[in-house]
Amino acid sequence: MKPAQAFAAFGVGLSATQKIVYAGAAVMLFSGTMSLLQGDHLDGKGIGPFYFLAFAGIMWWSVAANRTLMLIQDAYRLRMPAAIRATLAGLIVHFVCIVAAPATVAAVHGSAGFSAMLAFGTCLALGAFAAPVLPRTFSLAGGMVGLLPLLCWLLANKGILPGVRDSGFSLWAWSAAAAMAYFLYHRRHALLEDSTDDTADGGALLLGRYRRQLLSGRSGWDTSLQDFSTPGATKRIRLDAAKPGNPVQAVQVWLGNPFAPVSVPMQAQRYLLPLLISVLTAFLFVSLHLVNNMGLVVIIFGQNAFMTLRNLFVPRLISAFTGNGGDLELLGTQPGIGSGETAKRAVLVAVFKPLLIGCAVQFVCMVALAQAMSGIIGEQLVHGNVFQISSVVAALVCGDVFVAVLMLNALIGRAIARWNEVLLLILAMLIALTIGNAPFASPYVNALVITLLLGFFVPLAWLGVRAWREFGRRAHPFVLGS
Amino acid sequence: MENSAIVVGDAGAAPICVRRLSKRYDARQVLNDVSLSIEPGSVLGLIGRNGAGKSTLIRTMLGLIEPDIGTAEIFGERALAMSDRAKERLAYVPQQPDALAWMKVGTMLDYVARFYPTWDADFARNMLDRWQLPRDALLGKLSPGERQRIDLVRALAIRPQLLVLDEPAAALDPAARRELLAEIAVRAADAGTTVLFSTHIVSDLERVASRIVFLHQGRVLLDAPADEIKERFARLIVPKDAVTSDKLAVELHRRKLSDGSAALVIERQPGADWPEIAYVPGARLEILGLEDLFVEVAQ
Repeated sequence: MKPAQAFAAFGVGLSATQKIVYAGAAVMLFSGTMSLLQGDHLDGKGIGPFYFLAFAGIMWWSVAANRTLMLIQDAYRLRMPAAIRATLAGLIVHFVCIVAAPATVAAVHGSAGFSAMLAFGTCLALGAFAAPVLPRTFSLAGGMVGLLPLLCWLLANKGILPGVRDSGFSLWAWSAAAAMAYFLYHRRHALLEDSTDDTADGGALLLGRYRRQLLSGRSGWDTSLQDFSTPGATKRIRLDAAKPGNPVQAVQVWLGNPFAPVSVPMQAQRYLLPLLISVLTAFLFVSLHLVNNMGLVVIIFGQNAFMTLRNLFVPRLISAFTGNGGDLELLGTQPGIGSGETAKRAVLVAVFKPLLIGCAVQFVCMVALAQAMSGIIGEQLVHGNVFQISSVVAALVCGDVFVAVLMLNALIGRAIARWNEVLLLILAMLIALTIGNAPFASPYVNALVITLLLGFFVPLAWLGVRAWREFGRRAHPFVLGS
Repeated sequence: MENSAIVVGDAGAAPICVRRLSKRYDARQVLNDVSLSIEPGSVLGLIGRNGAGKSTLIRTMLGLIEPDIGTAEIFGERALAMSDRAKERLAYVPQQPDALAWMKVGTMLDYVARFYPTWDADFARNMLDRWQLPRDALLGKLSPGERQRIDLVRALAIRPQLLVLDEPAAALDPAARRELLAEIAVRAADAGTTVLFSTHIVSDLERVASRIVFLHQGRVLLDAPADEIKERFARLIVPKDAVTSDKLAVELHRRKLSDGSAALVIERQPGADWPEIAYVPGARLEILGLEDLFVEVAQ
């Protein structure tokens, strides 16, 4: 395989979500570079365009890194050293196109030093490669890699870290790159010898998670194993409640995490830990005075929070109810769950009760966040008009209803096509953005917000009603093959 | 949708009874007018190529798939509305037993046990020891072969009246496969357990099945007691000048050969003679065993 072919191989078999990520990253890379070249800096240090580029870069490299590491892993297993060499050669071509060439252009143009830009791109690439070889227990850290450029930007803005144009940046960035390169070298055996083929948990590395998503054709990670793979974790599940005559708990135990009945501390861990990132991000933004608007807090916290709920509940339901893993087949033949309408009721309660708890926790976090920032937010809450506050609440409800609709569709074995999902997400963000930036004085803006809300709710309602009818039509909830 | 009224459970009813089942996925007819009834205590082997419709038939029989046409009953109850009482008498091992992956082996068996009044804990313990399966291992971390054995232990420990196994030997080593077949034979003979299992390993069928159903392209091509299959099917090579376009009454399958002759798979009733065409000049008749029959039809 020639390097050019290996480079092209990165694009083979990309899922719709990955294509969107690539397309989005490409647009951001282009616009970030244009912004940089035009000197259109968002702040005095010229960090804004670099952050824009960094975010695009991390998106791009995260997809490329996962695929490259999988190629290397498979080539090693199949004892194909030539394929490993070709993949590495393709990677060099990739690096030249994505990092070295833009760095040269920026250096020639005089926007930034060549060394700084090269170090900047190398850090992004190595960071994206380092995340998948982390042990699986670091999944939270792996998920936050995308936030690192943002954190660096904020710290540079506050003068804690050097900015890309500062003299100390090259040294700092090359040191970070060297540390990540050493980490990757150290983890090479773990990567090559990780077993992912014959176990359902996807191996010991975060890369296994990506592999399973790719093989199952699903976006999102089946969380059923995630929290229970550590010794003693299963003891925290309240199995005693699952018995004949108690169908809700029986179904919840079948589904495992995040639906299994667990102790209160584990419930808190289940809901609060993922929301913590959203709270901290929002808190960081507000405390650094980067936002001072309630609508933006809704974007930062609310959208993050409902994506957290989606990632918590939807993948497991899709995994269980698409009927590939034997869950439905055994649930459908197990006594103690009842038949027909009884079983349907049990499934609905088993699945939507945890979501309601999640929504309640999300709401409490939101109120607590608003309380903690009463200096900024409280003012708007007190003086904001009814329309503004109800729009914010509607945006939050939109997110939660969206999760509920995805779950209902999962129950009938239908994973909403990713394009629809992405479009709906974009629409949700548009609403939040409109609310965040609208002066709420003009009736035209108000009309636009209402139109957007309706535009979001109409397809959502259609998807929900269609799924509800299909669920109701079925003889029992464990019927296969939609 | 099923086209019959709900049938009330009947203690004397056949463990499985399906009538005129048809199922289509998009343009593909997966099941085509399948009717079967399994007598209590019999071991029915379902054989067919990959994609012949075996798993779909089993799932439809168990009420896990809604047929387009036809009815399926388990112990006299409509399969799609099976009561808990009927489910307690039934054990099923799916082709890919990946469910409950987050549980440990012992926890899973303890959990399942509470739903079955006939659960045999000693049997489960002994089988785990005999097959050297760890009680403390997470199911999700076991190999496919271990997962399949665990699921077989789960199903057999229920002491079911009806045992349904979808490709149970696919991931088993020869020793474990032989033990499973012996257990099936003992259960059927001693406890009167009705067994339905699908496979494409012909020797497994010949070892334990009392009745064999050959499914091909969604249709039942053959349904006969196992001991009647010998000497019943033959490959008939018909010379080019004797080939007619009309299908023979006893013909199961036909394929054209490169020289213009035709290879027919034909069937005769026990004690009956082969059809006249078998004796035309140039015709050649070869008696088929079950494996030869499978290969011939599968070609």
